[in-house]
Amino acid sequence: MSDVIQLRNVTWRAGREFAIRDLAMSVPSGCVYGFLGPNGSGKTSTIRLMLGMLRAEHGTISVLGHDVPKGVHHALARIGYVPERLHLYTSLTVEETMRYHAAFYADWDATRAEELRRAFALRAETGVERLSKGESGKLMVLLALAHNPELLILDEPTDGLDPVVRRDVLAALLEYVNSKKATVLISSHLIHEQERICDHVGVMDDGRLVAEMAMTTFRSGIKRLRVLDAPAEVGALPFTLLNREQSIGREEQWVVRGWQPEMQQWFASGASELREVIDLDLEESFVELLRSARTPDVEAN
Amino acid sequence: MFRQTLFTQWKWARLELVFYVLTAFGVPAILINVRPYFGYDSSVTGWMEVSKLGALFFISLAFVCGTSLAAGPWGKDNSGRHIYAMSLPVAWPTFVRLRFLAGATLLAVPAVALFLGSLVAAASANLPATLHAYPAGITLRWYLSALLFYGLAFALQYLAGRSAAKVAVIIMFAVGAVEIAAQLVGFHSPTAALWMLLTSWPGPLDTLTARWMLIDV
Repeated sequence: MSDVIQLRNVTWRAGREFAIRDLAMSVPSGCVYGFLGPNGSGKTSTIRLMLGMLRAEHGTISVLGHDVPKGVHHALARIGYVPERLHLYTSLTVEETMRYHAAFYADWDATRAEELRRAFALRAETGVERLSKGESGKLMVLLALAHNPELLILDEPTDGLDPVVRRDVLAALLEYVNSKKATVLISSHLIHEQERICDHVGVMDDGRLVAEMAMTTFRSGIKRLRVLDAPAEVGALPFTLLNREQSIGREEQWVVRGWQPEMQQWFASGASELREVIDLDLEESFVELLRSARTPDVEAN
Repeated sequence: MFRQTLFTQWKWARLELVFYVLTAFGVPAILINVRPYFGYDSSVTGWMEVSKLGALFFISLAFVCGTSLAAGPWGKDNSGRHIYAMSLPVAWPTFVRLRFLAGATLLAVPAVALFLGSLVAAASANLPATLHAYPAGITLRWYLSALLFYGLAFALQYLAGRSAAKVAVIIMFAVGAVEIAAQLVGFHSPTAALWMLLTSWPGPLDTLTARWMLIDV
């Protein structure tokens, strides 16, 4: 599977406060890539780097085979982009916005756009400034889908939307992805929503990509272990220890990554005892991953 | 793309344009017809004085019209931090060119109104034999000047971005400082020399300082 988006050693700074450092990231073709991370972790900046809206200080970025920023406008013709906030001209009506947008896309499908407008119950003559947050979100999704893009880049597309609108927007996106086999990069901090739709995840924290893997690996590979009589120094481990903390009495709770059932043997060969292996849901996995990324000395064990 | 860009810029500027069109059409006729109320008689001197008053109006209108039509679209894009513009699949220079050409086209609307207003005014004037009306000349001069102001404001915004106002103030202070320094050391005014260079043919600002007379010899 080739990569639709590839970032290599990308560095970008926003003043002294924040920087994206040495970022490497790959989005495989045909996947739904969940781009996770807490607010302010650098997801939006990374997306803007991919779209040529920000210039990297170092590193290379390639999107749909085009170098960014040099050939980004060729790539943009094949990308549907939904930013985190309304970016359209508010003094135009819905219909005028659609006409303006269509003029820039050779593959604009006017019939499809009209179908989506009706499906989203957007009135053609309504001014963009008078749209509710949900309607604005729907209009941006409409504009992103109507030129049949190969790649959708969605920056918090459902953030702040009510559950009904969120369901409509996600349904339209999933229907499009299923029918066109498009690649999707969807940034969000709504973990449960990502769990349902994504097959790959990348986790961003403080300007770094702390994990990138298939969703199945992410979901099944992070476990909580209840360990009795754990040694103070654990030495070489067959899995990655993300976090350990004292529980009750002689018991400790370990959060580990890369867990396989046969790794129970490691406990059998030592003085400690593995009491239970607990599955974590995506949100717990995400939180543990971030916690370990912020305390690198634990993972070094 | 150009048609849609032109449409959006027209929609943003349409109220201003109505004002400019009405002003450009009406003021030449008003100036000529209210001439007696300002104390100007129908002698050659009286007509020339009225025409000079008109010149002040024409150049002011060119400045206001040019700068405001340049500021509008940039302001709209800037309010969305240019995200929408940059997400469109056109190279940035192409997008900026579309914006510029659309604005330059819109400037032609008040120019046409000025031409028609000047024609009407000239037709209603009973001029002495030695004087003539120049509606086409004044319109062309007005359009070139408005385009010049528009181009300068447009370039300043797209080159300096959100710092445009700051850059403009810095330039003014720098010019002032150079002027004061020159005065202190007894040099001729460098600003005046530069102004002469720019405003004398073939300087780029020549059109601003030439005769802005609707009625002239």
